[in-house]
Amino acid sequence: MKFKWSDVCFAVWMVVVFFAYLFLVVFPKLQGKI
Amino acid sequence: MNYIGAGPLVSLVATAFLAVVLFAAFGFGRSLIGMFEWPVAVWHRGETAVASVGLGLAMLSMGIFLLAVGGVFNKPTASLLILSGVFLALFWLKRVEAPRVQETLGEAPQIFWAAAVAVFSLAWLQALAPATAMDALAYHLYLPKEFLRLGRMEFLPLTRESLWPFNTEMLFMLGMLFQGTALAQLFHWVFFPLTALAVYFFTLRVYGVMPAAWAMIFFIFTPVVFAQSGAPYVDLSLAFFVFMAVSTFLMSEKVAGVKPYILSGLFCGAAVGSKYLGLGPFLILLFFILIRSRLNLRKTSYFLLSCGVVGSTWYWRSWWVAGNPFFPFFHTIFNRGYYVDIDAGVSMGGGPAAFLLFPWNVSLYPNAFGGQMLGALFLLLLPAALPLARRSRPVSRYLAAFGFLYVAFIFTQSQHVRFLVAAAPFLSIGATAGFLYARSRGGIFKAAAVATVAALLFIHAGIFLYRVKNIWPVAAGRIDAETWLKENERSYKGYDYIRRHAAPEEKFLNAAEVRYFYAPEDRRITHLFQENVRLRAQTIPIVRYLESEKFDGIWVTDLSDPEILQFIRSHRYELVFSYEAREKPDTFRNFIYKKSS
Repeated sequence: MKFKWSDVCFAVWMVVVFFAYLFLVVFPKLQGKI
Repeated sequence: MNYIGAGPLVSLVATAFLAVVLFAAFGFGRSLIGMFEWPVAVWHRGETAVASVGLGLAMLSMGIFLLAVGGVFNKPTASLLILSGVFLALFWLKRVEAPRVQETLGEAPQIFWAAAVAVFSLAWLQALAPATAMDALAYHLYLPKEFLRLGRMEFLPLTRESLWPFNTEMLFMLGMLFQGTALAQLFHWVFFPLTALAVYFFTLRVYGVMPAAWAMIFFIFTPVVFAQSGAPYVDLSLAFFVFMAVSTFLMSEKVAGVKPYILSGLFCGAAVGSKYLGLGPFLILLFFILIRSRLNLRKTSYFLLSCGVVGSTWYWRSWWVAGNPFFPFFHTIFNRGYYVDIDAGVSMGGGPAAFLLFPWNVSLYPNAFGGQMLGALFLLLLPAALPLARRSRPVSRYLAAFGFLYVAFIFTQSQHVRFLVAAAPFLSIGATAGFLYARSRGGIFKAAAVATVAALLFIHAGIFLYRVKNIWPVAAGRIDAETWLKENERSYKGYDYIRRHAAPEEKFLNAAEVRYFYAPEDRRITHLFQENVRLRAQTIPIVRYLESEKFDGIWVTDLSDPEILQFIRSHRYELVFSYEAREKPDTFRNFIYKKSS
């Protein structure tokens, strides 16, 4: 499949959102803050 | 009647009764669809069943509403209503060949169905705990309880909500008439599997089996959707009817004539009869219909007419009784009602910049939007669907436009996460497009999508298990409902103290709680937050009111009006009971005072 920079951007976006969610929502939830 | 109960027997009876009502609803809905020879051929077999049950539940709600307004809603009339639906269902089952399960559910891999059934079961367990949700105890369950006590559905001028569209609450009332809160809550829970199946069958018909399976899974694994399914609210019933209204409207792609518009109107009517927020989807859909039918007045009129037949009753009633079809909202237009801040304490601002950031904020800062979690699946996957936009089909564009406009509508009205539940089916289909596109691209894009989605589904499953962990002891009958409520619901201990320690003639003021459901009916309790409607209208100062009423006891929290706290200190009241109630992440400190003798 032809290489596309947009694929890399989307992959980075997914990883960023995932870790942001982990640190801003999931961990505070486990600590009872949400 | 306190309607409280939990344990295996209660769960069993409630579920069996729910099954009978769903069967009756199928009878009503299928008859309506069959009577007009609606194009069931276009539908998937499962879609016909889901649409029939949904439409039947809306018809049942209307029947209960008419009986309750007439003051004749009781066990004999309700049984008659349900039995007539059961007979209709039996009639239809004889006419159509018995479907095979495999044929009905489609060819989705069994792991998807196993995951779906597991989550539905956890949600079912969650719904069988005694009610603890804020708005449920303030009005979704409290008002049906009041209507049952009064023997008639009346306007209660001191409450804000007694004229609101209450389609789903009619089912709660049915649940409480025959059993209690467990059955009432199951009537909201049932819209969880119904909506998930509606999403599955629609996506199956339009896009194929794997998109259908993923869209269903993304919807089911949305934390706010799961949380709502355990509470007797109306957000999931709204989501179901809105999705059905849009999906039946989109049948107009395949079916000529007015039938899709009539069907869409019926479902849209059920949506506007469920919640005032249903008016937003109604306007969006009306706009779509005008575009799609190229300003065809006949098609638009059929949509409006069928929508009006099902949904407008509530608005006519409100207009007739209070002079305002949206009581108490829009009081400046109708000169009746009062200002209600439905956005209180919720949102991270308005305006174009906040709107652009809304998807990020609402996904990652749930505390600013009512505390419930939308999850990160949509934020993560929806941008990945953008490359597909240029070569998308009209049906996809309508779905995307509806999802976008609905989110924009909620952004402008009240930015509660749970109000986005009705957008979740559309967001789930969009997220599926993004996910499948990522997988088709391969490489790092596919790896990132598969890894993050798998991790998120796993995390959300953990959250669901965590949510029901506390419920298991009461659902299994190891703890009785009252003991459980004392530990898990903030108002119960206060009402329980008054019930046990106050004499029937003693007058108590509840200045602590807007949750009225557990208030003992055989004690004289005045709820200040209801009285405030009258006090504000007549500009009566609170201290003068307290002096004239001479309450024997007053229940406050540390957040109550300082003037009341001062009045207690200066009028020889003594503290007789205090307790702390913790509902994560908040703690509520309650104090009950009695007049010194």
